[in-house]
Formats: sequence, C-alpha cells, structure tokens
Amino acid sequence: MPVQKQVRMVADLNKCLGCHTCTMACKTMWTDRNKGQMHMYWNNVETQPGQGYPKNWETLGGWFNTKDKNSIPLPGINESYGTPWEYNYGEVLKTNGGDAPASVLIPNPKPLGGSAYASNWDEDVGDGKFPNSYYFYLPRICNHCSDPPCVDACPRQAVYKRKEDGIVLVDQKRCRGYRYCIKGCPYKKIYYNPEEKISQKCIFCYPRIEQHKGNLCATQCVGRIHHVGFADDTASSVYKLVNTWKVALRLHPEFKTDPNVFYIPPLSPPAYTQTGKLTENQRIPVEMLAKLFGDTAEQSFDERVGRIREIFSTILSEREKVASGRSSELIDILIPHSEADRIQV
Amino acid sequence: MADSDPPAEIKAAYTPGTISLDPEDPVWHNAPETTIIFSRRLNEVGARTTFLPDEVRQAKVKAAHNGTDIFFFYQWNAASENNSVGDYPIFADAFAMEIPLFTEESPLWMGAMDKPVNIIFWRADLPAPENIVAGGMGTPQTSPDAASRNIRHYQKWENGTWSLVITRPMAAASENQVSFARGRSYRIAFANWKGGAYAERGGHKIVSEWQALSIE
Repeated sequence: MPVQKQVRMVADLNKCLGCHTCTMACKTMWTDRNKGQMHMYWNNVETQPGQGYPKNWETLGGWFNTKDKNSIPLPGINESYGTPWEYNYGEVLKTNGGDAPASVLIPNPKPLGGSAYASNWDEDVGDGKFPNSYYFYLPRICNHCSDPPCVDACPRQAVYKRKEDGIVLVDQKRCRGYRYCIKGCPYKKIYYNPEEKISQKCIFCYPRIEQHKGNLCATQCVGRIHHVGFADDTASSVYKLVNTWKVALRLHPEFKTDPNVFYIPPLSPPAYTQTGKLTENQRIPVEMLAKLFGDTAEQSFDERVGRIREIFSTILSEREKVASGRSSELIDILIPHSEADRIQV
Repeated sequence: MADSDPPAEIKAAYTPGTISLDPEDPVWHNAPETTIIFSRRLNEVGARTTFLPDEVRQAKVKAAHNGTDIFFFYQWNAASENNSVGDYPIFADAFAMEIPLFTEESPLWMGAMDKPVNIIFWRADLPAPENIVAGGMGTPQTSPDAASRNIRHYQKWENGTWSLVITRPMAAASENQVSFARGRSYRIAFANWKGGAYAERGGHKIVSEWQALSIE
C-alpha cells in the first residue's frame, strides 16, 4: 500500500561512540523493566563485527529472503536474547540510608556458561589481528521498511504501515501472538511479550513525530549521529544525505524489504603492515562493510564495495575542503549545531 | 471423512437440575458420545508443517443442557501437554467450536462478512475460553463486551488425553453470541491446534466438516 509520506533516518556511524544513550532513552520510555519486556530493546547498539541482538540475527532469515518460510526459526529468550538479570542496587546504593549491606553489584540470575547472552554481550570484541583489530558500533531500530515483511507475514492484518508517515505498527488489540511477524522480519526487530502474549516493536516514537519532535533515540543521542526527516522533503538533511550527496546506505538491502533507516559507513584509521608501517588501507576492511551495507537488493557485492569507496572519497574530500578554509554543504550537515539541523519532521 | 459423508449428530439431552463442570458429573454417564474427525487443513504460509500427511486426528464429543446452561465435553489425544506461550518458539494446545451466528449458510472457514460465525475458543494457557465473532478469514475478533465473557470451563491433561468441559448460558448474552434453543438444530464445526513443537496457531490448524448439534 503506497504511503503519502515516509519517515526516514540516517545514522552517521563515524560519530557513534557506543554509549547506548539511545538504547536507554528508548528502554526507559517504552519498555523499561516491565514484565515481559525485560529483554526488549526496540533500539539496541551492537558491536560489528559481532553476533548482534538477538544472537546471530543476520542469519535467521526473513519473509522475502528465505526460500522456505517454514524453516525460519523463532529465537528463544534465554538462548537468543539472554536471560534478563537484575542487580542488587538496593543493597549497594544506600537508597534507604545507613550503611550499605553489600559492596559489590551482583547480577541475578548470574549470566553463566557458554550459552550466557545479553544485548551488547560481545561489546568491543570485533575482529582482525593485532595491530589491525577493528570494530564499530551499529545502532539498530525497526527499519520501518517500504516493503515490510512483517505486514505481509501477519495472517490477520494486525501489523500495518501508517499512510501518513510510513511508520510500521503492531495493532495491540488485533495481535493474537502468532509470531509470524517475528519470522518475517529479517532484522529481528519485532519482539514477543510472553506476559501480554502479543508482539511489540519500535514505534518510531510516533506520538512525538505527530508533534513534529524527533524520536527519542535521535534526540537523546550525545553524538548527534541521527538525522530524521521525510523522504520527499528535499530540504531535509536525510534527503540531502541519501539522495543529493549519496553518502548513506541501507543495512542488508539484500533482505528485500526496502528499509528506511540508512547508515553512513564508518571510516577508520589506517591499517599497519606487519613491520608496523602505516598503509593506505582502512582498518575496517571495506569488504566487511560491503557485506552489511548497500543501496538496493539488486546491487552486486562488487558494486557495494565500489559505493562504499566512493562514499569515503566524498567525505574525505569534503573534509579536506573545510580543512583548507572552504565551505562544504555535506560537512555542515554532518556537524549539526542544533536539533533543528538534523531533525526535520 | 469425505465431503459426502453425512454430518455426525451431536445430541444435547435435557437433564433438569444442576450440572457441574466436573467431567465425572453423572450427566455424562449416559450421554451419547460422537466422534469427530478433523479432516481439513489449511497450510498457512510460514507455518511449520510437522504433521504427518496421513495423520488422523479426532475428538470425542458429548453435550447436555438443563434448560438454562449448555455443556460440552470434549476429549482428544495429545501426546504432551502444551499449556504455555511463555517464549518465542512455544505454542499452546487449543480447541474451538464454531456455530453460524445467524444463517446456516456461513462458510466453514471463519464465515463471511454477511454470514458471520460465533466461535468459542479455548487455549490451554488462557484463564477462560473466549467468545469470538468472525466474518471471514483473518477477521476473528474476541468480543469486547463484558456480557460475552460468560463462558466457563474445566480443563485437564492426563495420560495423553485432554479433557475439556465448556459451558455457557443457553440464551445469548449479547449480539456476539448464538442462542441455543430447545428443539432446534445447529451447524457446528470444530478445530484443533497442537502446540509444542507442532507450533500450530491461527490458520495453521486442523478442522472438521460441519456437524449437526440438536438441542432436546
């Protein structure tokens, strides 16, 4: 169903410092520590390369990119999300006055054994061999896809895409907890609430968008990495980054869902030779980035590599312009001075 | 059961006095038992088809009433008890009975917009069976009115068998319910879902043909 408007987000991965403020803003606003929502991170930040959240989500499959839909597994809370734990804050922090009865924060239940897992479990592990170890941070929300597989997968029209802004929502009254949407989403960005017995997901903070305010992951970001706007608003920074400057790419466009969250791929310091000399190559192999990011489902891997090189070249030459005293529209957009510079909804 | 087979007759005999939810209630001692064959299946896209193609699934049905309340007693084989939906891959066993809401022409598959059906849906994890109205596939809606929450039940899984007793006042509590009248006959169909590894839910279920329910 065509939408009248489509909200879009661009996240500049060069500026993500992995602080998880977006995650916590979202968590405290929408899911908090509510029963059944403990494991839900509508926004999560994962280290790439890494297993992500839920574990190995990139390999689980989705409605448009898995031949046998029957074979798509449903992730389990303990195995794929990790058993949620609490800390003994009450004992360590003197919240009730007097002396603290305990001096150390202890998680309960303890995440133990080879199957222990959690959001951000493999933070900063990354890949590569010293001295060329590398990683970067990837913040993820629902992509509010133009061709949402979750909408297609639901047999009772409980998942829908809003005409007015393209936000994808689960009607909490229509949902019967069949979980086809979770199978359908190749990004595994729909969660199941075992207490409410229904599916829940990122709502792109639609009550805020309706008031022309940015979604909380974007407004609370200390690195100001996000740009939010409408796809057809040629004056918006999302339009300029995606369409004019062409420096933002989709995450796994080969999943065939036409996602509306875009990423500016991260530059990285130069790699060393074995004898410790700096090379021309970036530390994060461009091939690794090309496995994640691209423009369209049809694009070949080599074309993706070429596009990422092109984006890096554009950003570096525009930076050079500014360093030599000239001005650059691209760099001006990437260094927003106010919320209004990056959020135009 | 082929399409041409005559529908099974389920007779709800009149027994004055109190009938309890207990499956050992004396009302069931002499009540005639009907075997229902679940013969039809819809393969829902994305559903795991772990069932055997030659699987025979059936349920035993008894019915009774005392003039004010109607009781249904169902028993069917289930190798394991699946009574939780507490994690992503976990699904619960379920059973449903479907009756045309106001015209006998309602299609078996969830009725149609102008020919709705009334469904009583039981799932092992739910506190009570739900009153549902549907007007076609994908449309079933649990009745939001408080009056329609008048269905009580008893459930027990033991030695590979589910026993389920469902009761409801015979008079409809709202426009979302069918009224059961003495001397009348109704079309009735049944559906069964295996939870657990079968992961049956929604349209991924096994269904009987229309049967006949007569109220003494």
